[in-house]
Amino acid sequence: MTENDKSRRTFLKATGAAALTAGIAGCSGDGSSEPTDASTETGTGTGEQTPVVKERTEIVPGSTAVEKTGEYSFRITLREPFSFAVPVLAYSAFSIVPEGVVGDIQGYDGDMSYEEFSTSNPVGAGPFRFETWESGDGGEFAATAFEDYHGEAADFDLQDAIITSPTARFNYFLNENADVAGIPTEKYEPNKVDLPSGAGQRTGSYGPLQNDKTVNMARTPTINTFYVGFNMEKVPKAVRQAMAYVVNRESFVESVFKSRGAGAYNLTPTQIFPGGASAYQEHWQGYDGGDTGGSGFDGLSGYPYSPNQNDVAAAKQVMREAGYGPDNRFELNWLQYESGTWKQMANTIRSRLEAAFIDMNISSAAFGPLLSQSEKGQHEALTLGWIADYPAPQNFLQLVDPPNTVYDAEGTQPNGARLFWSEDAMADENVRQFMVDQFDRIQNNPGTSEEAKQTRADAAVKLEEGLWASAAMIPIYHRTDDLFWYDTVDYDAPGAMGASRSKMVNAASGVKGGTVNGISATFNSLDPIASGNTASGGKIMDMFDAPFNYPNAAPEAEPLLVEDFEANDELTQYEFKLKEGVQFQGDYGEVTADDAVYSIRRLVESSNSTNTYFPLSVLNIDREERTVTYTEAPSGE
Amino acid sequence: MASQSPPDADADPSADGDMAANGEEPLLSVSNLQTVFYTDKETIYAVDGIDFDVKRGETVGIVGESGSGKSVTARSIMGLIESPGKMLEGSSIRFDGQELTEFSAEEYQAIRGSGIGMVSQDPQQSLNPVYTVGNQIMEALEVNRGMSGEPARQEAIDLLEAVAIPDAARRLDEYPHEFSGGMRQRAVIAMMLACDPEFLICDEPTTALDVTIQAQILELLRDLQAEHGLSIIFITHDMGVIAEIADRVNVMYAGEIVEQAPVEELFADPKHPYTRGLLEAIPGRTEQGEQLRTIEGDVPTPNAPAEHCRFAPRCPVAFDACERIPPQPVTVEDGDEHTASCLLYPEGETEAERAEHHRAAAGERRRGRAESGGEP
Amino acid sequence: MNRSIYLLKRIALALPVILFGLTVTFLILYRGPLDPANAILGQDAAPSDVRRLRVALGYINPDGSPVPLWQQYYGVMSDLLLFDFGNSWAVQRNVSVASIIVSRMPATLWLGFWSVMVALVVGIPTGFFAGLRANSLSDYVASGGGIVWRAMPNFWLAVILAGSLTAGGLMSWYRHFPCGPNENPCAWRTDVVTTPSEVSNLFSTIDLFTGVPVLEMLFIPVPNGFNLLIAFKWILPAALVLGSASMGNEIRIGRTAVLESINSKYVETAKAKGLSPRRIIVKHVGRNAAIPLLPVIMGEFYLLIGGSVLVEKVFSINGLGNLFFRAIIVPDIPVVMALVFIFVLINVFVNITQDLLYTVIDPRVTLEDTG
Repeated sequence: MTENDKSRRTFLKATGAAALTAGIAGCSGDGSSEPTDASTETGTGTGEQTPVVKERTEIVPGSTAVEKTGEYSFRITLREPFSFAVPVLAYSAFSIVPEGVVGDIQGYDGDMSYEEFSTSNPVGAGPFRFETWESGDGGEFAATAFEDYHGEAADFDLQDAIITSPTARFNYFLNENADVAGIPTEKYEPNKVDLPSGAGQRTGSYGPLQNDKTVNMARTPTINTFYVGFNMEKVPKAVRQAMAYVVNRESFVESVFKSRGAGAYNLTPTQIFPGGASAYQEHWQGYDGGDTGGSGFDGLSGYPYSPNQNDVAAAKQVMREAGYGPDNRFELNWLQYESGTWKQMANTIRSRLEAAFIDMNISSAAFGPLLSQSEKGQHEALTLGWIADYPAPQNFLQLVDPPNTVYDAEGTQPNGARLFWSEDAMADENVRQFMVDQFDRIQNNPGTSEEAKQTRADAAVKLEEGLWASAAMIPIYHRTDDLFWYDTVDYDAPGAMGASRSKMVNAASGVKGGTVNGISATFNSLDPIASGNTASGGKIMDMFDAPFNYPNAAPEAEPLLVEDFEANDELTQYEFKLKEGVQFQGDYGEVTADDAVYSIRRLVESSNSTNTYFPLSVLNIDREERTVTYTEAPSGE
Repeated sequence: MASQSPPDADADPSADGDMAANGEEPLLSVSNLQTVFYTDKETIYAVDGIDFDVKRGETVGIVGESGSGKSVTARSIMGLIESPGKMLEGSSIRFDGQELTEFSAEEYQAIRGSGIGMVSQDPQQSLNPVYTVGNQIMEALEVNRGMSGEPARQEAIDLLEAVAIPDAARRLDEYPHEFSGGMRQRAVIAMMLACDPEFLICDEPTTALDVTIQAQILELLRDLQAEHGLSIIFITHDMGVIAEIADRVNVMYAGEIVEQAPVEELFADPKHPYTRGLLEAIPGRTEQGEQLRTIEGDVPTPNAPAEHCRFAPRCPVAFDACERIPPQPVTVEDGDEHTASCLLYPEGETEAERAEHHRAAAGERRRGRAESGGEP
Repeated sequence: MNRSIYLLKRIALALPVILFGLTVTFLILYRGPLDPANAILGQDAAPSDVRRLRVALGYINPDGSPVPLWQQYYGVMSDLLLFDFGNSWAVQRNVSVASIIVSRMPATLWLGFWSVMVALVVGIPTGFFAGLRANSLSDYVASGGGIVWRAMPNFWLAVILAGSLTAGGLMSWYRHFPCGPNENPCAWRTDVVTTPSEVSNLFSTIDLFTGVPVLEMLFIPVPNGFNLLIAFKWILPAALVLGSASMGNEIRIGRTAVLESINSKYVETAKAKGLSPRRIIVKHVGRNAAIPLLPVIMGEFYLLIGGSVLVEKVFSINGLGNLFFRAIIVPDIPVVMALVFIFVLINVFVNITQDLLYTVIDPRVTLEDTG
């Protein structure tokens, strides 16, 4: 099945190449997003040195496969069958904005400047209208209820203080300046919690705080996994397994994360694990000693690395077998996000690995440098987390699809975990092939039939087992999100998709004082296609509506601006019918198919878009790409 | 007045006049002045019961080694003794008929400058570096004589000219660091003259200056004294300078005055072994080829009331009684102008008689202190 | 040398300093580990987006070839020196850096002003007081207090103070002061953290010339008394923290300087002149003691630049320090470069001012001696 894997990759290139002639011929050369003329010119330039001719692909403006099929209906065509289009279209980047509101794609001049739209006048069809935004730490954001909202309009306004320091946030909450807030782990005291036991979301109380108040509390297991990943081209399997042996998830969760989470044995979180929570638990328990490699690898029964304990002896054993010993130690570089809790965990692991002939160096980096270093493969062990884009196992398992972990291309892929699970990786080739095959089974069975679902579920479980066998990645824990609120608001805490996927209109009611005061992190843009983090995502959820929605972040997406939709049998074409009579804020009138087409085109084609991952990598909307050749001078003058 | 050595009382008209005015109350009369400094470990009797007078128009020298209490005497008179220093009760400083030791801070402030001025040792540091010389002189004029504006400026120029600073008008606007050492001392003197004092304390005013400048300053002081009728206390450790300027001399040792005498008598016939030692240490006074003599040892720190002669350990002629009896001033010549505090005197008495004499005098003195509550 | 020639010479000499500072910053930012594209786009960024962003940021040409470093350097430096700060990459996407900086300036200026004032108004008098009463009990209390105050690290003090101002803390009454605890709403309420809008409205404008052509455009800024009071109440805790180190320094140096001056010969001479103690302290001691204090006071300006990052963070003050911190973390290189440029300019300005002030208060320092 290697060919299949390759073909998925080359498919992009092939379409691009095929589109090349058409693209160049059809395009008037007025690329709005990228200055293509300059690059083609240099391509034809005569250099006296030996010029290097290179190719790259770019999307032809206007070629995004989203079309208006009626006043209120539009159609999206995908390159490959995909069954999760609906939940993906609930993502805030797909929010619908008035057609032509800004001129950042071909064919539009824009009603306002981009700066105005993204910072002081965002227009959507959401339940709240923008009021003010004073950006920066210590600033504020405010929005008022939109009376003409197509759903049930809110009877309260929103006001957020923008605060980054955890202590300052907590102080702000203690002063009752905020109705709803989180409590940073360092300020959180487990003994103040009063929650009913059980799985799923639990609501109870927390307190008394230092201001003598007892507040309401909800603990929500959100769909995420935090893990340690390895650069498999650099770290031998024995070292990876040794670390797996000494990781004791339960004790980490309890001591480091103050029990605000659960140990993770599978990459796929409990809520979306095939068969549910009980299947998740059964899956990792009862390891029967199966081989973690070898020619006939066909999965494992149970987690093989001493679950729920710190097994230094086994770690030593596996290292010894691989030829390590007191005089032949392995030096491992651990790279993590700047976080005190993870540092604490890293220190524990380091001291345990010392006995297993591994010397671990811990370094930390800000998010940006962390990503760019690991993208270049400069890391050895790396901590990262994944929060669900859409609630399906494959959203997580695509992280460990081996070809998607090798960062060597410039297209929409790779975007998996930074494992570098190539053919050159220090891993069992059989297991790698097994992973590729299983992931293809998911890819090739996108349908909604019971059989397809069954196949995907089986493949998902197999992928987890292949991951265990390779120890390419060690899932550590699934985080739970705690939210706290005063009695000034009746608050229904958001569900498993997390607070940033919920609209306050669905969560709050009975607001005393008419305004829900919150605390937000800093954010940099209010343009849905440029929203960069959960903070701006939350704001955009409140001001804009997307075609679909997770009602109060429950993991089932429901139509929002869309009334109905149809997909073809191949699941490559979706036609959506918008609700009629939905009004935009301001004087922008009714939401129509033109607006939807414009919004999705912006997401794909605008140079301001920082979220093409969703339409291109996840949905894989069809579009024309053209290859431009250019000459690169051997070195700069 | 070009050649001033050896000193000649007759050549000094002001001294002459005052000498004649016997029975007239002296301008300054210091008696039983005791200034002590309290430290963590001990109490230092920096000035331990000294008595001397200064008559109008007279120059009185105070001479002694470093640490003998000369400067503390000067500062005591100026009322500049501050914690941890203290003038003990029973000390008396009478100036122009007023008892300064009873003065409040404000009263003292009024007497400083216009009554008593002081020129101190180091001209480098006596002037405030951040103000012009003119500013500082005019400040003295303003505070003491109520002058300001153009008249003050003119007066300041006159004063600078009076202390022989050339181009005074321009110099007025210069800062102290732009002056040479000698000029600075002249400027300090001009500043003190600006206060128009009757009495000037010169605390080693020439020590930091080289010899030619020193001579010029001494000459200047003599001229000014003649002109303004100043009384001067001139403090120095330099016997040569004393010989040039003083009418009468007090020799201090370890907080006490060991010998008082008119200057020529002191040089001609020193009585106290310490004075003799000092004079023998002056180059040029000894015979050619003879080795310059020095006094062995250091000035002791007077950390207790005197119960013996403080010079005894260094004294070449000390005897047993010196270790037991604090010597008291004894008239050693005709008249009472020349006294010495030494158990060798009164001359002609036996050792026992002398000892008894001093013991009795010391007892009387102690009683006097006890009555005024001065004994700590 | 004439002061203006000196000034010109100093400014000319400052140019290499500015260039050097900016060059070092440039190299750190452009050759260092920061990768704005990844930071802006996040973990699941499509590589094509990353590339497109790198083009937009000027790291690579549209054709994918890297822009040579010297070319980036030339572009960045020439823009900066012409005060063209460009647009923000990440703090507020595509918004002009100048407008972001201008919007964050009031809070920092307000904070800086009061921390300098607090330090000056409390530190110097206390130092003088202690120096004038050297080795008395009040001196021990004042200078001991100064040392303790100085020794408390800013971040610690900030956290403690913010904590005790918060509900349940020792000083939580301050938030409502002078309203009663149950008076609601209270216009005086201070939120401890976050920046109140009053700070950007310290001055109201009145148009005196309504109806008069041309002059109509003139607005006269008038201090807005109530807003000033509210903003003062809000900034006081943060200003106390930020000014604390300088205050401690000023107490210490002030005490020593006074002690040195008061024991000097020229003070004795001044006493001998019959000057009043008051005049001696104000005129003779004061100015001499100011000489060693000058670098301490001027040094506060540097401290404010560095210290404000921390204090602004803890109190969530929406100022330049916080912006700088954020811009480095994100990273937003145009914002960082612009702020570094401004900080270097302030630095140079403070240096020149300090030298000029030296010549004013201490005549022994002359302009000729420099260079």
